[in-house]
Amino acid sequence: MPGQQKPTMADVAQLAGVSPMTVSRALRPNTAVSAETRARIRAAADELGYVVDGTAAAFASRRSGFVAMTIPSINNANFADTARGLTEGLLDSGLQLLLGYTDYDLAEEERLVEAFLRRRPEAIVVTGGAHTARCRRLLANAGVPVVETWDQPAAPIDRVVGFSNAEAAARMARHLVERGHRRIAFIGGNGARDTRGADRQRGFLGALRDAGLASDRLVADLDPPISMHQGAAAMERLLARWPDTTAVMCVSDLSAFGAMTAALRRGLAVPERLAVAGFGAYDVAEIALPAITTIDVQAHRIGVEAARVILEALAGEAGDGGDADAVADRDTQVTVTARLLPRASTAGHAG
Amino acid sequence: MGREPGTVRIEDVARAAGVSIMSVSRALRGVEGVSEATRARITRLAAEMGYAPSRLAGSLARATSNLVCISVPTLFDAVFAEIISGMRVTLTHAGLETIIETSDYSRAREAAWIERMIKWSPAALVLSGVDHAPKARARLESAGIPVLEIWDVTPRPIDLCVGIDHRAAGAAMGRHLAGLGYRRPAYIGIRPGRDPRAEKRAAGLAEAFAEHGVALAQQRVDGPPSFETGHIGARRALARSPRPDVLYFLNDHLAFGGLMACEAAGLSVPGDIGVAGFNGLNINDVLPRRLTTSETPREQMGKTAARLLVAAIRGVRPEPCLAMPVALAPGATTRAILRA
Repeated sequence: MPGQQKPTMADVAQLAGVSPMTVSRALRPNTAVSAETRARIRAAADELGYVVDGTAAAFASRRSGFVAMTIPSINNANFADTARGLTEGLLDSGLQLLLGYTDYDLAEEERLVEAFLRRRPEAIVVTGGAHTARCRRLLANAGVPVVETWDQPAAPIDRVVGFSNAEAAARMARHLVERGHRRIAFIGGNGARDTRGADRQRGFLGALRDAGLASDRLVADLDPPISMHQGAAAMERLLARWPDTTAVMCVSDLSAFGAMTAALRRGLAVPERLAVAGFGAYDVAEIALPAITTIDVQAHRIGVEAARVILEALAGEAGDGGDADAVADRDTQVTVTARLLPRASTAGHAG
Repeated sequence: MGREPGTVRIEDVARAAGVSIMSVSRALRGVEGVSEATRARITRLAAEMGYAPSRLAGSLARATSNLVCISVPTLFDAVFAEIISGMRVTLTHAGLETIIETSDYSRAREAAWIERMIKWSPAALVLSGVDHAPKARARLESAGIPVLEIWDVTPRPIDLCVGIDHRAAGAAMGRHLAGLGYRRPAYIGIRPGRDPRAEKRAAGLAEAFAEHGVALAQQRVDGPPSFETGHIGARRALARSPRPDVLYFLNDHLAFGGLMACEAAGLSVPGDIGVAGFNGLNINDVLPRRLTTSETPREQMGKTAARLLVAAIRGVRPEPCLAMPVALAPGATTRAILRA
């Protein structure tokens, strides 16, 4: 946690049974250290959550002036909105935002977090609450405010600004049930890569079961980031298997737009014959004909709130000698409201 | 194992990889002639073995990090995402990490970022476009860090440049539309000065119509390059008198928003009005009717650029500027060729 002592190179050296100089050499590429020693030192560093600091030698006490953020995809208006909110929120502080994208790969997130930590960010923002074990350790030992966003992790590392993906999707399921739908399907992604998408699927199907409905109409093997094209193909497969489906929720608006286009091409009227809903309030959902019912997760506000949480944490550290953990829970665990936006694509009453 | 770098020779790498010396050389210089899988394997082996060509020792010593720092104007644009995604595989195989900054189309912000990044001694910097603050350019020219300018071309790159000729692409679309008999063209884009590439395309389009004695109307919207901006711009353009007979949008996303606006206004496309975009974005794959557009090789551009950049990082000087082809793709939103 941020209040905890950061591991030093001396700690790593002690654990590995070598000199600090050997640690210094071993943790840099292209240096003369045996593979066995290098592996032992790496294991010790990993265990302690120690990160080589690229600037430490030269600028030990100087502030680096940047905030790091990892996002799953750079081709996604939702994460772009969060990044914009964060940039705007940090504007007056002079802190610059630098982004890394993980391509929905937790191993890549770990590499990026390590690369960022070497440069001593003032704070680090990650998307989601799922990380590799080593990445969790790196973040927990980072010694700077850490904000997990877009999620409500059961065991937060530090600060959180997010919402429950499962609850937001359950809300959409209840909306479709209220509109009289009984044969309802879900189009989603490979949950191993997109854990937030998997949470939506879980929440949606759970709400169907709570309503006494079947929850087996599922096409959920798409590779994130899920494109419009994949959404269209998934709709074709869904309708081939369960042709009497009357309502579909897609894991995002992009896939919903593709899925709706595929239905319209087959001559299925939306929403009269088939209701289609998405997630994320992308502008394509608003412009589409018919406009697509969606969930607005307030992506921009997540960024603004994350900036506020970071600035408060940094101010708190400066003010009371670094005991950031003293800040009350309500200020460090922020929930944004995911709002249902009912539109034409689910209008009217089924049957 | 404990050997000093430099004592490993190219033939050692070739033997370990089971390939010819020429293949190792090609792989490490980033030139054509080896598969990407082989290149990745050789690059990895060479790094593991600590192989460093002697004449590159200087540049390798300078690159104290494995970071490639990329500046893009916005994340609200699939183009940069696709280019970076194309670069990513090659960079990752070469052991490089990428970090990204968004300049929000501000040269001043880009310049401030460049200052910070130079202090980090990154392996390389990647900039969007070829229009930068003169001071930033001067800093980069003397920084000794490989610099790649991407998505546009110039006869005077800072270092390396891989892109397309936007003016020529706009002119090609202009000649196509003029050839279909359109005579009241309007360009729909964002505030002038924000996106230099889009301005070049609009200028190219205007030139092509000028050859027919036709002036280009312009409808600018103060907003991001989004579906909604296209929607708003089209609505405003349709209110003009005389009404334009063809709308050329900044990109396919704006064009799709504009297409929806035309249909919402009760106009038939292409019967009453033509719609053309730019880029061949993947939204075109799912639209009921394909947009008329120009297809740009974004993924390929990223791959090619990354290969050249890796070569530059390893101390080889590739061709400084590479212009990639743009293909005009007539769709169902403009008149058919044979109908004049």
